[in-house]
Amino acid sequence: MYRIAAGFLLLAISTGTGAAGADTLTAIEPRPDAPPLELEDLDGREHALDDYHGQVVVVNFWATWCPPCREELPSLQRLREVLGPDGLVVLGVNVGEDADRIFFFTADYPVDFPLLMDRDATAIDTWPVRGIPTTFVIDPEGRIAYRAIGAREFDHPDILERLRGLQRSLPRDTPAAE
Amino acid sequence: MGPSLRDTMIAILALAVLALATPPAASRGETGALEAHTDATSDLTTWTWRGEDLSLELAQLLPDQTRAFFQARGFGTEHAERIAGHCVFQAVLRNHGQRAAIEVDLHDWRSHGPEGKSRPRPDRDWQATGSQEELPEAARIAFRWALFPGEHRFEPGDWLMGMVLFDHPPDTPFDLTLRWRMAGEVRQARLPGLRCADDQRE
Repeated sequence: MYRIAAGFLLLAISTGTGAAGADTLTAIEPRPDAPPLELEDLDGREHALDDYHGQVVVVNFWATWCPPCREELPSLQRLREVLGPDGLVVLGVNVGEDADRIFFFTADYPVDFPLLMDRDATAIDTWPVRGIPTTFVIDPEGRIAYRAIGAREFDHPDILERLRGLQRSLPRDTPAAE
Repeated sequence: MGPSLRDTMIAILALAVLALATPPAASRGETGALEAHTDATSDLTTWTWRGEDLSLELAQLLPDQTRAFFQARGFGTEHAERIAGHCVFQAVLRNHGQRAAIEVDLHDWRSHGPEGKSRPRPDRDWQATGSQEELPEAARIAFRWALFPGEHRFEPGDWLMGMVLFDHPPDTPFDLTLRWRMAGEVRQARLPGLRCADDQRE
């Protein structure tokens, strides 16, 4: 048992984002419309991507058992803290797990952005995702502007600058997030 | 020791030195460095191959680790055993270059073991067998997303982690030929001396 635990620990340690790729987002050109996304969060509140039209939205597909997903969650929280007041929205889409498992997980990985539940993995199948974590940045027009496959440091200065650039394209009458 | 025997020994030694000095076999100009690290605590080995743009880590997983992972996600004993009976690695593949996208299809990879050539078992191969029909939905979803995707395109900076399964018994030594496509060109590299985890070692 000790050997098994040590093996898992070694895997978890060895999978850091490292320097390579930590600050990269792939620009998607031309920008396709984002697929629909309508899911409940842990409190049973319905979220639809359309609700955030006019804002920059970061959609992150993840699972609690996925080490790179766990690794990047704190940076998504920091991203929300830095750019959320200016209108950026972060949506975490958990793939295939129930509310209890996610709830207990957040005791170790506290985040205050919505964690949506794609219990039967039907939502993820409508997005161009083949592995998790995969993250999309949706522009204020509802189009996919950037994609990142694998974990990132989402509060890396280069990523923040790109997202600020998208936010600068916000319509002037768009209200900031709460 | 007669001269002919001595000459033979020298030739063998020279070949051995040459083999050690030569990087893993590659084609299309792709060269890379292969390193192996064995963790002192777990006694499990991780191989890391790093080429100009692509890097691949393959970390041995014990059958017990694989079994525990899937049982925790709703697999019954029989189904978990079926997966754990394979040679399983946790793989991390990265496009660490800045030049172009890398397209990977696990169907194009080949392992060369004592029983001959075979290829990894990507996620869609398992789905095609229908062997998961009796599994709970959560277990099927976890299995699908825990396995390294069969086909994927990695833009610069992209990387993924996932399990790669080979049809080898525990402790089997094998070489692995990687193939990928970059800028319209097929590249390959051979990683020699890999080995499946041995469940019997303590």
